Amino acid sequence: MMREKHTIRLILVLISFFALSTTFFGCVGGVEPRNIAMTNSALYDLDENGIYHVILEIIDPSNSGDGRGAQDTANKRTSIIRNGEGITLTQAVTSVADKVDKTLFGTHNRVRFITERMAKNENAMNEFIDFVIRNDEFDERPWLFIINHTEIIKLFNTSVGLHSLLGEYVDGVIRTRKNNSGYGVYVETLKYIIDSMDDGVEAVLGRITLVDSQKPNQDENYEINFDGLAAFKNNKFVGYLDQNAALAYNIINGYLKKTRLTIEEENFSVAVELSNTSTEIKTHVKDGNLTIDVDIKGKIKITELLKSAKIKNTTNIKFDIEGAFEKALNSIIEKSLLTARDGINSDIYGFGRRIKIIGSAEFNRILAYQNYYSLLEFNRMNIDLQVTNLGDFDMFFN
Amino acid sequence: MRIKLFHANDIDCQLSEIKSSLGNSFDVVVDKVLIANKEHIITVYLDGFIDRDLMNRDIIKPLKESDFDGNIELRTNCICKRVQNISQFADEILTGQMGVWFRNIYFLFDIKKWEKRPVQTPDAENVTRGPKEGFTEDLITNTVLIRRKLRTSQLILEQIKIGRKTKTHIALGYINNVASQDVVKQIKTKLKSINVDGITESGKIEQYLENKPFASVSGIGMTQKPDIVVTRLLDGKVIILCDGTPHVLTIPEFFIDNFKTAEDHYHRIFFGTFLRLMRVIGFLLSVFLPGVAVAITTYNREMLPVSYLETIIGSVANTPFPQAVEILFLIVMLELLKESGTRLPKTIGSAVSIVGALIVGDAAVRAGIVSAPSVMIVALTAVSSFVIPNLNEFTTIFRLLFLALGAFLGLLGIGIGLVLMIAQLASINSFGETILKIESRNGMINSIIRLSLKKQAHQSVNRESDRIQKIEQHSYDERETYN
Repeated sequence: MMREKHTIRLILVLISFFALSTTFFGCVGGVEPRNIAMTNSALYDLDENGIYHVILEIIDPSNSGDGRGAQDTANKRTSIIRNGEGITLTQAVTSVADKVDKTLFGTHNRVRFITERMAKNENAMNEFIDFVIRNDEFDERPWLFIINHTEIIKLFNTSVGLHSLLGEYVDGVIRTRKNNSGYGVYVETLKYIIDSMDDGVEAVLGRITLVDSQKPNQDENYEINFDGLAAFKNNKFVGYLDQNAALAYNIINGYLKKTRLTIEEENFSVAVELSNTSTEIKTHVKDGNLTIDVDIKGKIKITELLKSAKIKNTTNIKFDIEGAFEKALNSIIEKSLLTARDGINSDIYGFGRRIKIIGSAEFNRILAYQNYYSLLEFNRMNIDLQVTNLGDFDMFFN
Repeated sequence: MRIKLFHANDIDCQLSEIKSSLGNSFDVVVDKVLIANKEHIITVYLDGFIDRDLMNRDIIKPLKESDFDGNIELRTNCICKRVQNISQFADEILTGQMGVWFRNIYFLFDIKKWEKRPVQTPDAENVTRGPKEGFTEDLITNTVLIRRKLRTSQLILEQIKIGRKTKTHIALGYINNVASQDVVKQIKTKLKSINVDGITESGKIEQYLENKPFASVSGIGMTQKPDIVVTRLLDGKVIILCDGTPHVLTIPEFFIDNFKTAEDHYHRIFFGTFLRLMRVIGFLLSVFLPGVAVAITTYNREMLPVSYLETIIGSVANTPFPQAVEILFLIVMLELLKESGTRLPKTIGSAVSIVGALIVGDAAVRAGIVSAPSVMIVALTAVSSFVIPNLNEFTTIFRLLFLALGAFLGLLGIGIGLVLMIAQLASINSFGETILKIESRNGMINSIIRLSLKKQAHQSVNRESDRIQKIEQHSYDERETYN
């Protein structure tokens, strides 16, 4: 009797284990690595007829490992470009997948491009966000850039520097530029989605333009320029801003790590490295008027200096340089703020978010205004820069 | 005193009786020897078990001298013992003693001498620093090796014979007042209850002692090194030495003890700690690496760096089997190589290993049967498993289990397997104590990070005083109950 009970129990355990295994096997859906097509970059477009176009750059793994594990450096890694279209993004992506004999794997995608004409369509952008969030095969981490649709063909024919793949190249450049240049805006897909959905801030995207490379190599006719930004309002593209606006965006939002500035004055010509910037923004609401105070601090390292012979007292030159850069930066930021307020009327700097900090009741009242950002007044702009390093050569040439 | 002289016929009769009691084997030497006064003795011994020179010089020769008065115990120059009957006499002969029958009395002389392996460094427990000597197959040699390091009268070595036919000598060792008397009692009871024809190795005793025969580990440790045995004895553990094997059992063995070696204490703190961490990492790699690797590449690829994933995809592109099958194939190949390398003579064994590892492995990759990352994973697993040889059986079985779980259920399966593994380990008791037991918080720290010897000595003193206190309390309670 006991033996029978044990046997029944053992059979039940085995059946349970088998059922559990098969159930979870179906749920998690494993795919062998050999059946994966890894995307490196993706471009999303919406044409005038309301048809979505998706172009995927898929890594060709044949040069990644030669069957013996080691990456063959002699063979340059290559990719294949496949495009698809459909009335939804899912359909467009599916039509790409149908042309590839493997399962698309987008989690390691490095960069996404969306076209300007698609970005101008609010519904298309909403669908894009929904697609990215809902689809577990595509990650939210890739960099997101905007590009003019006329440059799509050029994009996949650009110079990719020391890299072999477009997505990898863009990823590499951004990771370097993020630490060294403030003239471009580098936004991950997730950051774009958060800013689009958040109150008191409008989303921005990095902008890329293509310029002639002036190279004899016919395969790589263009180079990518990352300067400037694309501003959105209510998840709809409203216009481009130049590299100075991008610098102002990075400084005000605290994203700037280091950048280089050059000024030519009557008495000197100087190039500096601006770093350690910190920004303090204070918002006031009084009698229904919104005012903003902006205080910016930063450190300057002189990297190049040519001084006019007219200046005799070299000890004061530091103060002159600080004053000149404060003035220049003040002009850049003020102009950018006013352009954003009066030109495109989009709160890309996130002042609304700071107003929200004051109190939800006040914020809700302000939100009732249409285009509240146009009502903002910049009460005070104070920039305090300090030359902390004269460079390795601490003397001045005449 | 009147001495009864035995007739020749009586002696022949006795001789044949002794022979038949010992089984009439060719190696049983039963000789009739003429001694002084024209009397005869019968000498009995197993060929090759005794020192013949000693026998001739110290036993036979004195008996042949003309002034021999018939008192063997006084005349011979060896320690002599009388036994009552022929069956007892035969039993002692079979243990290697030399026997003499004279005037219907059985005498035994302990002049054992047989060929035995010298004290050598054990192959499986090499050390870079510390004693190199290892146990041998001779029980007495082994007890000598322990006694030389532990010169205290508190070290108790009790002898027990197990095996109806082999009558194997087993020595049970512990330090009085340090080892738990309860554990000693339990072990003795279990040893005495073993009722088999023969015990040839301590591994058999281990299986008779353990509570759960299907458990992944037994809760009984094994070593071939006297310094480790001494350390274990000082920790309050009980040891079992078995004649005929160099493997000594230590009881109870907690799971964490597998990560500690005596060598850790011979190095400086940082290096000792580093070695322990290496062992923990080695254990984790040897159990989980194949399963986790398959789970990640099949289900959770996003966890891998892009370039590594690309390399894997490129490597497996032209191989015919799923990665789990590749790894399973390599693990089986590895186990075959290990088994053949162990069984074959050393020179051929190493050649087989080289052929297996280099030629077959490389050929399998070149032929496109397996991918290079799979070879690397299994190679790393194999290297890691050698870090803790005592857990070899455990890691081999669980490695395959985790591989299956990883292949079918991904990281979820690994998680399920981990829970089952811990639950299974937690259910194993070694003589009343769970093998996952860690004595204290400091004990846990000391298991992973090697504390300074001063701190350990302090802990040891505290432990001992606690134990003495407990014993005193127990005696007091007993007295109170009695009164």
